[in-house]
Amino acid sequence: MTHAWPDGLPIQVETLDEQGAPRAFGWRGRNWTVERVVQRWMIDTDWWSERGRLRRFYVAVITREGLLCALFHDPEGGWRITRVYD
Amino acid sequence: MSVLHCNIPDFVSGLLRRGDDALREGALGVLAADGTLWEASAEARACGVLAGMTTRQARMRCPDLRLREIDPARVAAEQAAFAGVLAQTGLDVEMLVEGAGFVDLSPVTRGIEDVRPLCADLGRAVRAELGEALQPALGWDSGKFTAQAAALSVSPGHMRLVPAVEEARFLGPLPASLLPLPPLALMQLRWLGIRTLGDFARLPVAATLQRFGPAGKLALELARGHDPRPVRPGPRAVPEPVEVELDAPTEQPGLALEALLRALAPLLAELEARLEGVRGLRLEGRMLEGTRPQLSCTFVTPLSDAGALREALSAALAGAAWPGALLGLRASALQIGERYPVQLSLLMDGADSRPALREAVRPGEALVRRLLGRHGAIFYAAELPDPTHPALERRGALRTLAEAR
Amino acid sequence: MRGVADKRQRLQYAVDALQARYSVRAAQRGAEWVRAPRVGAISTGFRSLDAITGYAGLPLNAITLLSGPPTSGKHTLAYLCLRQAQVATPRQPLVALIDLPGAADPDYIARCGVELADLLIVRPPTPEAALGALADVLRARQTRAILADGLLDGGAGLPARLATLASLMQNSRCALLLLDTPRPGWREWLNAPGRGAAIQQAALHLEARRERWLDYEHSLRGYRAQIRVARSRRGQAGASAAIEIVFNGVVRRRETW
Repeated sequence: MTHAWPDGLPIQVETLDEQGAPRAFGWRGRNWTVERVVQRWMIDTDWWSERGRLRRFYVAVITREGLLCALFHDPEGGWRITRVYD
Repeated sequence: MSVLHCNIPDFVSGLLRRGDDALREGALGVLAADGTLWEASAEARACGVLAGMTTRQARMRCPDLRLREIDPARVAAEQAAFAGVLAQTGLDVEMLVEGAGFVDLSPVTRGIEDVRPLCADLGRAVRAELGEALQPALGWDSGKFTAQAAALSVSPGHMRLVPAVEEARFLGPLPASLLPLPPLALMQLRWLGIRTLGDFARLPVAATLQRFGPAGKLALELARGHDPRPVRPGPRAVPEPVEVELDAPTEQPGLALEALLRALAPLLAELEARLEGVRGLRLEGRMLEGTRPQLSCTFVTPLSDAGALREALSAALAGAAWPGALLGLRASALQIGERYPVQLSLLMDGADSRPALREAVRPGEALVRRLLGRHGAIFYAAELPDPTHPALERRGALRTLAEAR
Repeated sequence: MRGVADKRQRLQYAVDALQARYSVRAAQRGAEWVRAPRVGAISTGFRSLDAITGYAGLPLNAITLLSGPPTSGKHTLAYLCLRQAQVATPRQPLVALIDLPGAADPDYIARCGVELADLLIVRPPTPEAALGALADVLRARQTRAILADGLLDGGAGLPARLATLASLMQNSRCALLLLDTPRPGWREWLNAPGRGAAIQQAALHLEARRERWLDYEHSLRGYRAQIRVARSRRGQAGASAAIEIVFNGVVRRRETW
């Protein structure tokens, strides 16, 4: 959350676990392996807002490299990274 | 008129903090007798905790929340002390919810210059009486509504005086959820895209009357800076008790409550038209066994819509669990009060209106003005326009300071 | 007076003996903890960290470099320092954040306690533009602390510009905190010149490293990090202090040992 991208930055996701969270992802030219899914949540809000509807499935994950970050899946935009906690 | 609104934010949590150093920092919630949250401190609100939530809901949003039960006697005593300080002016004083009241300055002030020293004295007197933790924020205007909005727009220890010529400019950008309308009407305003008091003030009177009834018409006047409501000192007249008899005994208090709400409907409609509501009442059950159990309820904010009243009274009755079958229900000692905008906006937006109320800040204004020409529009102020939005990335925003040039 | 001096001496012997036997953390002088930081520094908010920097916090009129990989706690520590700067000088609470990555999150910053009304965010397009803006902000002498994020990703001209910056810092009455995220592997050489220059110019170089996650009933509540003094012109390098960052709604710093 100390670095946040409101619309997310695209990441490459190849495989998902049983509950739909990425097992690994590619970002900034690097592969990050998900070691632990800390939290999963879903939001569907702002359908009335000028800023546009937000329909996203979020996961907060810890990678093997020690990165704690939040990713989301948007039906239109695919998987994106939205926050890196530092 | 010349009205001062004196508002001590987070009155009850401030009281708890004053008496307990361990509570000075961190999120704090005050529990009402029915187990729901009466008040949430600023730290708790920052986590999305709102008055009216259950303990479970509040803890889900803020696991570190510390909860303390409300001590009605102590709160009443401090509220009386607060009222006492305001009354020392010898002017008419009308108390609203805990930590908020109006003073009619008309007899002693002519213009804004008379008001300033008087307000400062009053602020100091309240602080001396109640302590540093319970500092008031002061707002002044020719009407109650604008004075109230002015007090809500400044931090404790400060005052905002709104001269008549600035009323429209001051009120215009404030959120429409400040209007003391019932939650459903506020929700309708939102659906209609009416976000600010300025948007609302531009509506035609006839259309407002048609859609929102007399309450809407009065609210329109408030949004335009004309508040006809006088400061009413002393306790208000208590309406006649309302009693309902059931055709057959029932063990379901909900049925009796429905009948009572139907009987209360004319009074509620009358109150709503005046932007008032029921602040508290005493319920008395007539049981089949001949007993008459009683239950006193005080609401966080005056209620005039049957839905909110039903919810509050159902929760109270469920907690009381009167044994046996009910033959009738009586509501007496009805306390009436003006609807208070802050709580309504809380219910409406799911967010405290206070951050949105603050005037746009310009950090380092002089510095930015100097550097803009050389560096361009690279300077921003950070804001939290929607501090409890479910998506974290929509809570905050950066506002360019380019227009400071 | 002599009696007092004797008492102090004996107390010091006792403290030394306890520290020698059980570690330096076993006994510390209370006066050192409660004393407000000297005028020449801004407290980090962590007494244990202040104590090892050699300046009682982040030095004013000088550059502090704070390095660490992502999720090491450096951003949170930096925001907490901005808050300390605002609190320490209520008459001049303005602090600035040079946000080159363009990814500062107002919600998180506010949760760290920073008063947003007194935070100026600068988002320059390039590191060079950032250095220019930073120099002008410093010359204006209106800010007590500046946090620069992403500045060390600048090009070859960075070392010379940093040297100018260090001279501008003198008498600025401001603490400048440069954040540095070492890049992994071979890409480190990309910002090596800037980093090298920053290490040279910094009066204090702190390195943050996440030590372990803090879990509570199987859910993540935060993490514990070690902040090591890699270099200090006034203190001893190598000392480290542990801090805990707990993020449940409000980001809290927690003194730890």
